[in-house]
Amino acid sequence: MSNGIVAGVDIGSTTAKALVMRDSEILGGLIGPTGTNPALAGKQILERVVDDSNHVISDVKYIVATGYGRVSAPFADKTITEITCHGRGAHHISPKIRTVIDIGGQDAKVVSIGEDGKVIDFVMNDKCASGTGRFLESAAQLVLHVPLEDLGELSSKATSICKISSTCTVFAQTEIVSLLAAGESKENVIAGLHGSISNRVIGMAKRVGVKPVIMMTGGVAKNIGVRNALENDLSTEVIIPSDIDPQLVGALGAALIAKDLFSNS
Amino acid sequence: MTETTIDFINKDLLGSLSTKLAQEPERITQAKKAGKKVVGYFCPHLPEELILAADMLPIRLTFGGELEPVAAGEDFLKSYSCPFARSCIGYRKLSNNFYYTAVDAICVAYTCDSMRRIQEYWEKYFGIPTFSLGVPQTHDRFRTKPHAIEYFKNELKLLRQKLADFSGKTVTDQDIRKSISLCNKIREKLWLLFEYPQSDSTPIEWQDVLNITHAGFLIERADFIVELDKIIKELKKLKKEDLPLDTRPRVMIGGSIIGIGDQKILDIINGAGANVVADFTCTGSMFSRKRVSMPGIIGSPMDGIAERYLYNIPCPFMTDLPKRLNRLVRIAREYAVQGLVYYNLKYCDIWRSEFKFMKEALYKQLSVPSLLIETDYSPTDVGTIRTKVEAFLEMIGGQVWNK
Repeated sequence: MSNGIVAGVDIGSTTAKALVMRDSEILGGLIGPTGTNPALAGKQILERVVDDSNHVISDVKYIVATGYGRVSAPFADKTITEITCHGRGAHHISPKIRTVIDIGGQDAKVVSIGEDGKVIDFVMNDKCASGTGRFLESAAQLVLHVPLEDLGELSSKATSICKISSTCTVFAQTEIVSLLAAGESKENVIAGLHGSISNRVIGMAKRVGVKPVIMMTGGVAKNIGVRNALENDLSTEVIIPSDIDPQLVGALGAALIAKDLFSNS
Repeated sequence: MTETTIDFINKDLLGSLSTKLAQEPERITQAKKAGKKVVGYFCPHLPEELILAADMLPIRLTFGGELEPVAAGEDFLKSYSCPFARSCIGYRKLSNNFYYTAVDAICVAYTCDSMRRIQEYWEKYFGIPTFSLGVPQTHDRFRTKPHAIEYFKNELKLLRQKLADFSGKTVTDQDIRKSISLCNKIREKLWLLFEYPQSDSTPIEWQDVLNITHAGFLIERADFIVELDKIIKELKKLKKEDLPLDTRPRVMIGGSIIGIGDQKILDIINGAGANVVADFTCTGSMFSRKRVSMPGIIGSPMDGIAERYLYNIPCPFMTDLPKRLNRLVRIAREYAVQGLVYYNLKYCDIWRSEFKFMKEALYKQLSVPSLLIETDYSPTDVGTIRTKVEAFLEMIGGQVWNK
């Protein structure tokens, strides 16, 4: 009965995600902090999700690891990049998707996929983490003093959108401090931050071409403000996965690839 | 002084070359003691025939991949000059690389702005005589701009004279012809080696041919030919049928300079399981492309040099983009390339600005995708680059998961 169980483990810079599947049915998915030991974080989250679905780790027949921590996942049968996995996961959620915008903890990617869900082209930021989750996190914690999760909600109360020209995490903080000092409301500043992320991501997206339908994945997809800014700037709808946590799309793709690899092995 | 080593893959085949290379600093030191002058240059637009004809030792100074010289170069060039340009002056400033300290003079072809400044800095701060070569940016494959080649011929004539004066020797046309013949032999032999990786069962990998080319920037040219002959003789003994088939994805590398010792991107590509089979860089196969045609008894050998060095070096600082794109597509076709990794040293505007054209040309004509990697010599982005390269290889591989 437990023959076809496979798992995808996505070890990101900030969070580790695991998802288990049996045939095409998702048995469970979990998200936990990566902390300082990516390999351990990946293993623990996998064990927890397997346990939650009333199985033991030996039931899992094939594991694909992805995310930046994939290289330190000795438990995996194969490693696949998160670019390919996000494409595959998004395609599984909706075959209409042609562009995936994945913004995670320290990187941002735009992946162009074909009708079959295969990657046609992609761009990914260089070593600088500007315009990513880390950018929002540090602004929220260090200068705005609001919980990260509240950014989306707060930005919807903005009366106007501040112009924040810098996507550099450090420079943007300076800019925010000046804006607040000039009397701008928190809400307006946050909306400006989201606009700045949107600008940067769209700049990247143009290099691969933005084809609808667009799906947003990764932790930042949970911030409705960034989604709205992207929709505004692109004048197109941007879909956020509804039946699955957007942070799990990479792990889902990894699990689907694990399924293929297992059934073909 | 750091040891100059090039890490050859095929150590058996290239052992003799490796030994020769290791002995070179001592040999150059002796030659200098005996009164021989050493002249360095950076850019492939600079004909080393002119240095050889004046009975001096040419060295192409293209080391790269190290952080220290880049930082040292910042004393002179802005921090957003490409790391190679900064190294060109940084190595000399640090005095930790034999070749940069051994040169008695340098020649600088006026290509990018950073290179031009390097000449002035070398002269002013290190007291090294420098000779410039103006290279016209404007020419086309139909050769409709005679003024461009005329200008270049005059520049070459001037350089020839300056080098002759520096060496204290009269340089005759016969001397020039002799050095052309020597350099043509090198080009011919290197090109022969670069053709091997066209096959998927080759006795020598592109990486080693690049390494051989780099060794040839440093080793005395006549000795280098002897080494090349040895290598080619060994390779010819091998039969294609006996060689293993290389099934790794075939990648071409393009973009700005791959300096001697700059292994960052190559190691990542190799580590991800791909095989670099061809290149489009001026420190790689482009260096040995096309010989200087020897004009008849009446013609001046300088005309042959001018034509070869103006029309046949695919530097994006020059006009005539269509010619470069055709060449790129042709190489990709001849080497059955599945993807181009465009290795662009950060802040190298001239190469970076051409990427979109190259990507489009390759995709339109051959459905070959391209990956842009913009980076410097620091190791901080190795993880990110690895992800990009691996994703690119997954893309090339068709994302069919049945292993």
